[in-house]
Amino acid sequence: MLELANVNAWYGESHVLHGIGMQIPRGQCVALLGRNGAGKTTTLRAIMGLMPRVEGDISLDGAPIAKLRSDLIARKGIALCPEDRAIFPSLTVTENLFLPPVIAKPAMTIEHIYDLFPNLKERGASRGTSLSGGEQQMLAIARILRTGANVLLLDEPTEGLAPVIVQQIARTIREIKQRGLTVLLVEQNARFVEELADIHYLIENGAIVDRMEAAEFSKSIAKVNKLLGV
Amino acid sequence: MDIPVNLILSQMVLGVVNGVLYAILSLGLAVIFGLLGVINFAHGVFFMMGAYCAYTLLTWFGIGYWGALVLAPLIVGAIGIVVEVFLIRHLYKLDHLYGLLLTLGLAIFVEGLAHITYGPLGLPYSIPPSLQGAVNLGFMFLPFYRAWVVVFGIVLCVGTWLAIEKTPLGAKLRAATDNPRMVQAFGINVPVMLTLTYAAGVALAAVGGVLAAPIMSVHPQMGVSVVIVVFAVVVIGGMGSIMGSIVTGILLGLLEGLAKAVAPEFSSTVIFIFMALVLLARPRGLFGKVA
Repeated sequence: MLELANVNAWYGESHVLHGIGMQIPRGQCVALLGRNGAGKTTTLRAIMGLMPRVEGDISLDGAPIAKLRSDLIARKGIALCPEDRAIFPSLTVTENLFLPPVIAKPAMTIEHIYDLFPNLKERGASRGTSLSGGEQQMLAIARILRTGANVLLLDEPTEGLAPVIVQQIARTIREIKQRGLTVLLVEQNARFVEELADIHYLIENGAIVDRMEAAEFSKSIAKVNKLLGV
Repeated sequence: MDIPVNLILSQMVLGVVNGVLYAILSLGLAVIFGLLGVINFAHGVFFMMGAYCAYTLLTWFGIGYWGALVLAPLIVGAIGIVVEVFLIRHLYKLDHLYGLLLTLGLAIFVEGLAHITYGPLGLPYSIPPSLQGAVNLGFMFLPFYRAWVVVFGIVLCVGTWLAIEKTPLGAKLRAATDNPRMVQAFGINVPVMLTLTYAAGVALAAVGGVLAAPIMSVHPQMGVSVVIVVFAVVVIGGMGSIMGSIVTGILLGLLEGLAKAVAPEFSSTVIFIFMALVLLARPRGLFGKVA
């Protein structure tokens, strides 16, 4: 289980996360919902060791990871698919895909990944940034699937994408869940996560304000949308 | 003005020899700047250290040119690791100017050290017996050694370019140039990669020093005389551009050689006139990308 307890984070003098507490059990999909600037991406960055200053406890299966360098956190099996997708402009699609080191036996073979995202094979020699937004998102997800990481942090994977691509990403996340991987899914789209997540956390002004199981969440969509400003 | 064609051709061939040395040096400089963002003013002294290493290996240990060509870059690369870990690493988050000032200070210090240890005079380093002699090109006799420098230098430059552009390790280097924090978050140990890149860059300078030792005399200022030209190469080629450094290095060597034949009084300034023109027309350099 990935667990955050009383996590605080700062950008310079600015205190941006206030005592975040979350539990992401193995094999489950946990959603973190909130408006822009609520602290969703910062929470993922704190888990990944990318914040300049973090206090509190972050642990993976009981082992503390809060003080580790980000490359060591990644080697423990946590992988981040960032909001901006981090497709490297000087690398081809294939080079982007094969960039992170394999840290364990992947849940999906490269053949299976290419079956899921055939464009990545067909356009392997193109620059990563020449792909469409949807294809770049596929590449960003495929890239962390290939590493064998078993805790995936997905930061707004549907942002700015056409509905047909959003459906494809939902199918992919379902398949990831079926294969026993753990997912922390950051989103603003409550309808998108409703079908996918087992547990839902709501974040506002850098603090967790609610936690719901899937059934409760479905009944509270109107309340959640109000919080999200939808 | 009546300039013999043979003179022009022979100066251009000799210019290519210098150009290859410029390319090797600027290649290391471009790799270091591209990945570490450090304007490595100490690059000239690492070139000088390569030459002194070759001299010392020969006179103290009896290890000749071929051994020096392997050992000197390793020794200088190891010194580069120490310099990166204890000095340069602490400047990455600061303005580029701090790196320039630190490496300039380091260059002055090492040059002084060489002056004290080996004296101010040039020391001779012989061409290896297997590369003595010359080939008749019709318009000039080209020493075998200079031909070797051109061939080896071009192979080294192209090999380095291929390693950076076409291998998984090179992909990691290029990605780290784009976004080092994200590359590290993918599980790649970026600090070690930066250290090894600096070491590789200065090892390339040391290779240049060993190649130059039989052509120039080995003296404390030998790095200073080339490093200014090499900076011009990097600026003209486009800061951080690997291919830009290789092509521009050879191009400027040719230009300098041509100037020596046509207008010798301008031969030392023609490179800088060319640099000014390129910067006016294309501020990012010939091969530089738009920021």
